[in-house]
Amino acid sequence: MSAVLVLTPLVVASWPAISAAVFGAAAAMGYAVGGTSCAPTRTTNTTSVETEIENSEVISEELVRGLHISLEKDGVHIEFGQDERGACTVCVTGEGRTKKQLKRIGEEVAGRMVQQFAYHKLVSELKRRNYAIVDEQVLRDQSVQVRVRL
Amino acid sequence: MERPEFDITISPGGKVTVHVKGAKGARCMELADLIAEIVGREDERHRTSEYYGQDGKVRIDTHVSERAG
Repeated sequence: MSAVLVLTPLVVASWPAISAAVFGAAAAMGYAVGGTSCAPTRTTNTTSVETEIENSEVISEELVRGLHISLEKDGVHIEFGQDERGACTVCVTGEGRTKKQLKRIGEEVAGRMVQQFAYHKLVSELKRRNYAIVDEQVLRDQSVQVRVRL
Repeated sequence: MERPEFDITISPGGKVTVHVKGAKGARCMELADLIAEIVGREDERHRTSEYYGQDGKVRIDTHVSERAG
């Protein structure tokens, strides 16, 4: 080794690119995608927790505020959207679960979305520069490992 | 000469760790900068022994001084 870097991805992209990362995270974690909508679907008598994804910004040339992607698993409903400032948000709703549990679920899904986003951005940018992906694997802890040769 | 490689690990929480291998000095830092620019914010950067290497050659300078006694 000659240098080691630790980086935090900046999730700054158009809604389609962010959607692709959400779909990738949903597939990896076994969530069913409920589709995209312009109006959030909220149920009553349930607990909800909404958090903002750090270092995120949805870039849009057109005004597309209000778009959402819904995910479902084991009675938990997750909605990815964006707030008024353009940051990406995750709203987790579920019956019979505490706010702490929902917050943890939200953080887990948000982390996997960032992982997918970083993976696709890195691989596409490095391929564009004609670097070769020589090995790729998912580790036991769900980390993604990629070896790139210049 | 060995071709440089990146070993990239992306944790489930989204943290990215990159090992830049097979490059020394300025070339190594250039490659590290490229990855940092693609991913986003740099939290840490460590240089390892290979960074300081000079194609396997080591120069040792010795200085001998004589004490008057």
